[in-house]
Amino acid sequence: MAKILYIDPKYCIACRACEVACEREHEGLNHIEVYVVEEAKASIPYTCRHCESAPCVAVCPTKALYRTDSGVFVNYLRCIGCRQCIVACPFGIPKFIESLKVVVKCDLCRHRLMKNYMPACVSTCPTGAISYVEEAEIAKLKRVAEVTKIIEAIKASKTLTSGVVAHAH
Amino acid sequence: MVEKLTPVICPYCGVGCGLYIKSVNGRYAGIEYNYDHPVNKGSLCPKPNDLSFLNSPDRLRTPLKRSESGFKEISWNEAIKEVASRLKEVLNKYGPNALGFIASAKCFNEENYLMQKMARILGTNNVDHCARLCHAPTLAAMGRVTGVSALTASFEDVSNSEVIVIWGSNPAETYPVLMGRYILSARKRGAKLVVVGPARNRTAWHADLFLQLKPGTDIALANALMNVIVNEGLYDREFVEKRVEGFDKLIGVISKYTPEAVEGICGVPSFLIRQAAYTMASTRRGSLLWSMGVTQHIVGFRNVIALATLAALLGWYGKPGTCVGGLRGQNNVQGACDMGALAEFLPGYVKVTDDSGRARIASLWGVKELPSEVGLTLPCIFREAEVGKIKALYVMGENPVISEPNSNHVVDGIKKLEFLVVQDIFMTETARLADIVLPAAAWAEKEGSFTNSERRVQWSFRALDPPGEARPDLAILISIARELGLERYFPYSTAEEVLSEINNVIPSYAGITPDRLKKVVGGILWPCYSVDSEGVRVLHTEGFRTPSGKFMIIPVEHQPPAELPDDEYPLILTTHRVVGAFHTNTMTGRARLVAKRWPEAEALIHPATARRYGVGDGEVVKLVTRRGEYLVKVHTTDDVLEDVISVPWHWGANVLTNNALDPETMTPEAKVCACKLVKLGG
Repeated sequence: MAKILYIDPKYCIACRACEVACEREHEGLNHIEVYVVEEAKASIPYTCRHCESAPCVAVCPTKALYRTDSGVFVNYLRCIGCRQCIVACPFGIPKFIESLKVVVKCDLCRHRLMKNYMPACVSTCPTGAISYVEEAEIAKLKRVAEVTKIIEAIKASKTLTSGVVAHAH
Repeated sequence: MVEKLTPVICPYCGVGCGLYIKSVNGRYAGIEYNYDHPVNKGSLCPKPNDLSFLNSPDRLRTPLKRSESGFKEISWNEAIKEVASRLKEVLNKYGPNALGFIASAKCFNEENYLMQKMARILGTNNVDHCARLCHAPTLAAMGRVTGVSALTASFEDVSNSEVIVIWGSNPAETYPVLMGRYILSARKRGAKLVVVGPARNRTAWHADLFLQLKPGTDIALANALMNVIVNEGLYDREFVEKRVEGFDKLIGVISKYTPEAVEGICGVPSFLIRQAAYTMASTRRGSLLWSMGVTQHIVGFRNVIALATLAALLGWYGKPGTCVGGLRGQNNVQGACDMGALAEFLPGYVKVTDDSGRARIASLWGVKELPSEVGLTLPCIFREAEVGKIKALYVMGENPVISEPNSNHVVDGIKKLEFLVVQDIFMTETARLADIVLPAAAWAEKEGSFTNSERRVQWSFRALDPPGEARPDLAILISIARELGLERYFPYSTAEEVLSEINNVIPSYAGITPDRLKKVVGGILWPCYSVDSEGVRVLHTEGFRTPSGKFMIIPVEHQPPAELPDDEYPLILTTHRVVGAFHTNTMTGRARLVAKRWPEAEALIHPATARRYGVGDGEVVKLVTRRGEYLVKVHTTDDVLEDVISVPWHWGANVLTNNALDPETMTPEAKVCACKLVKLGG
């Protein structure tokens, strides 16, 4: 099963390390941005969702945008700068670069993945708000985290029996 | 083109993250994450993600000498001779106590060790560094109540805590890796996070309980928490009976600090105080961590005593899953203190007034005697310069013109000096005032050891070539010492040789040898008394290192800040930091990817206060205090209380802050003063 870029804003502290890391890896362009919603006292790193059925890929007339098992990518040589992908993307992700006349977006740091390094935003995120994992793994981690909390709560109320622990595992 | 990766320790805060510097032909070409590093497992905050300041055209490349037409380039030979002869001149004319030395929490242990050794062999204890502005109260107070001036356990223990209290600190911005890898990971597992401070900062955004107090009322709140914990019988009886002395004295003092009485002082609702007390007392495995919000007060020392005592009532000492202490703001501020770059301490926290301790170090150094009178601290060095008592000052890698509170007065002091030498990687605001400027190699262009906030000593390797003729601080210090005729006391040529001497001089560093350090990723935590020891993670497991072996309670009373609002200056001013700027911004300000995101200061002002003054978001206003004025952009937010303005100090706001001192530790009260807001343009 393919890995996905999984972003959980609950753990975001708006430090913008992901932005700086992304910009360093992509020659002065960052494909991830952190939005701070002060009223909510929360922040969210925002980037390409690498949709399974990606509207940007569907509308691209030159197949410059294409999808592989791992994500959605741009072949810059094929991009004609028509900006249809910008219209189609529900998340407002593709960016048209005036000086290059092409559209750019997150490429999951393919150059890093090839060297067995994680994407830069994932590597740097101090809180684990951004991870690159298998979907099933995320669901499992959530279940384990919740079960751990329940067990901790039971422990705290001192009603824990060894049977409960064994069962939860 | 061959890319090389060299392991280094981050040059910024006290968390001590590891990373690789990518270099091509000895020049900086980027970074790579060190996934195997035990502290950060690869992750980094924004700052070390762009270290391009290393390649900045602003880097100092040659020694400079002031002349009437500005700075002119001189040779190293001439520079070293000039520095030595000017220092000697002052020494001969006015005596050793007319000399001042400012060491650096940015330099390696070995370099700080050499600077204080130079000062003391010349006959003065006037050697200090910026720990004075941050955790001198923590060092002194923790030393007094627990016997050890350092964090009681490791970050790993923080992440194993069930309750984490963050007081006067904003790790989400100042120690993001600690916040993420340790505090939030604990919370993920169900730990409760309690945040205490004047601003609902980004750490508070993640808190289970947030106690927003008025600046400068920490003791009242801590006493109220203790009042509830004692009166409701929530304290750790066994711990208090066996390991604490002075509990009875405490009861007498805290009895009047009921939550209801304290609500009026600190502005925190009494029910919230009770709730926080119950939350903290729900576990004997908790951590209590603080920063400048606690220490930069005229009661900084007593603030720390109060917090340390609160943790003692809860039994949060001497076992895994507990961690109490100050979070250090610089990558080597713990190390610079350990090395004795402080006016009152020789290496290893031997008091300069301790005759036998002093004699031991004197004999190790091969000198007859060392000065026994406590030296001048950082703020006092500038005060004494202003009145003409300090005549020559040697500054290594610090920028007091921006970092000191009431900084205009620092400039006045410097102008009265007969001689100022500044050794730095950039022409800082302080270097601009110097007679001689010495170009130093940055940390990645030399090697040595750093000690992080956890007492973790780590080796940082040399990754790059220094620009131009810049030299490592260690080499510069050795050259100057030799020129001063101190050759026999400075027989070294490498950092390893200096660390070997440190192994002999500081018992808790005895086993932290250069060979071991270079081999172990993540280093060794002191105390480490022998080469067989793996270091100690949790302190105070058996007894405290106080004379009685017990935690020493010293009851403390609330005292208002030195300056309170009045009709003329009706608002309270406090300061904070932002994640993308480090201290005086000399490095981060030159790292493009970082600097563009954090380009300038924004004063946090409550919307109601802003409305009253008719100012809006983004508008530039003038803030005025009795010491200075400062133009700054407004950011309206209800993260701060009404009538409290919080300004980040990286861009020069210390012209406003107060330098009233904590009498115990001489730390200035940068965190609270009275100010007024002036709307510009009529």
